[in-house]
Amino acid sequence: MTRFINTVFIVILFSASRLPAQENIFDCNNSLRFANYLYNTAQYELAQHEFERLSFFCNLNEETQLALLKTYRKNQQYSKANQFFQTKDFTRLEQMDTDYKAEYIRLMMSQQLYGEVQKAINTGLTFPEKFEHQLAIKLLHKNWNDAYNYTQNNNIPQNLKANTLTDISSRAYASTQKKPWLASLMSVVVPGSGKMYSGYWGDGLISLLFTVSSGFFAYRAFNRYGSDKVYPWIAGGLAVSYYSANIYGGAKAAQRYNENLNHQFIHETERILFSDY
Amino acid sequence: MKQSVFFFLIISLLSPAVSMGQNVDDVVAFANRQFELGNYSLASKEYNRAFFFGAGNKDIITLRIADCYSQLENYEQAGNFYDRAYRLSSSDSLKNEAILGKAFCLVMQDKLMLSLIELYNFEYTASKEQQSIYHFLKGLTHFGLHDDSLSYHEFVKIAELQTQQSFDIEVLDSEFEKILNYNKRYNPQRAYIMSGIIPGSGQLLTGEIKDGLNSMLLIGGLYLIALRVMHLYSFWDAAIALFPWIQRYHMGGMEHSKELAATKIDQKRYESYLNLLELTLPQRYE
Repeated sequence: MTRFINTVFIVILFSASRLPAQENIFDCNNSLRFANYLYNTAQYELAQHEFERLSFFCNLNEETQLALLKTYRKNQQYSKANQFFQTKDFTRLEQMDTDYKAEYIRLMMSQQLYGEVQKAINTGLTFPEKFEHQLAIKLLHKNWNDAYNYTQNNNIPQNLKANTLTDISSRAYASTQKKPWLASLMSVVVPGSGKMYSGYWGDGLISLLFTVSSGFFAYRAFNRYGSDKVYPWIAGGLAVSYYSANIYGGAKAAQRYNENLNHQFIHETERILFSDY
Repeated sequence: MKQSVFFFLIISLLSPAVSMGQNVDDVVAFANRQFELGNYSLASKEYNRAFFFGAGNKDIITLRIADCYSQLENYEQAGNFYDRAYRLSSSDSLKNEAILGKAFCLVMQDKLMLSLIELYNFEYTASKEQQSIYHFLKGLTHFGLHDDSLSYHEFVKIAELQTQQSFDIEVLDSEFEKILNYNKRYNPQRAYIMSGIIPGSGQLLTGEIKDGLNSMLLIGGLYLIALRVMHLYSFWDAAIALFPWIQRYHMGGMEHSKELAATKIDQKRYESYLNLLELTLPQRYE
């Protein structure tokens, strides 16, 4: 009888040992897989929670730490990511993995801290897409000549981003910026011509008509009524105000033209640079 | 003694299998509970977890994730998950749900044409509830696109679908009649021309009394000054001195009255839109 009972126990024991132990979906390994899934499906807020949970319960490896930093950036919680890098000077940063360095650069660029990136480049930090970032900083600072010269004096990496940024720098370099002083000067000589020079033909024509007609009107008033009466002085004041406004308007028109043009190049640069951030 | 050792061994070996952690079904149940409680952020995370760790009914779970994002007003992400739910599902009913969800998200993002395109995929073998929502969304989209007659027909279809008429069709008729009248009454072109003939009258038409009187007095005053200058000096003196000002304020007033009329129509349309929502809003969006 005892032998029978023993045999039954052994059978049960054996069966029990074959029972698959249930997978714990909250353990570190699964949580990491899940956090990565959330990140890859662009659910950055949820991914951040999961990575933070991981950082509390499990030992974060370098890859996970980096992923957490990326989610901070994606969720625009820059200060949290900054905290990590603040403790590292460039020498320590240089010793870190390339992905960390790339993340540092992206973090700074996302916050428009171009000066920090420039500093990193000047100190010789090695990171991916260095050419692209250097060129983009020049473009974002509207240094068209510098940007163009940079593309002429360096080897352009053969990738879409570098090629497109190079194309932007060439176009920006070749673009004709309007000179506000020239627009003002032209408006002094021929009223409205400063606006026409800046491409605002309709405005220029109206300006010309009003300034010339008010000038003529003032001239006629003085001729007819003399300088003793108030009326010619009002007409003269009107003419002077039109004329001055036309000079000021000419310079402003040139500035507006340049701003629109520059904005277009900057917008294109941002679109290309941040496309894979 | 030997038996007690055996018992100890069995218990020790079985314990990991018996003392189980949360399994995927528990996670789904927890997510469902959070969804019911309105904790959509937490619910979406748990649905995602269940999805990732291989829960069954992936299409339903994906739909639920989309619903969570829709409730959180993250319409872009919700739209992505509705798309996924559509692809994962083989059931017409679920596919329709995904289409309706996506169309709703697009309406909320003011992408009305895209919403209309989305709704073209709707299978008309759906339940009456789904059909009602389909017509509601179509009605809303057409209304947003200023296709008022199409919008009206869609809203009428909602009433036709109900066995117990849920809203008074006469109220709907009168609302659309009002919309038609607004377009005639506050015609921007008419306001523009009126202001051209009698300065300020276009503004008065739209009910902007203060603006209208202001424009009337200002432009009228300028004309009076011009007449005085003509009388004292000459026509050309008056024209050169005052034409720019008159042109500036008269034309400006005309443009302004046109804008006011258009804004008035928009305001009135918005009031009608709210009334239509109150009248036809499906239960799920309440």
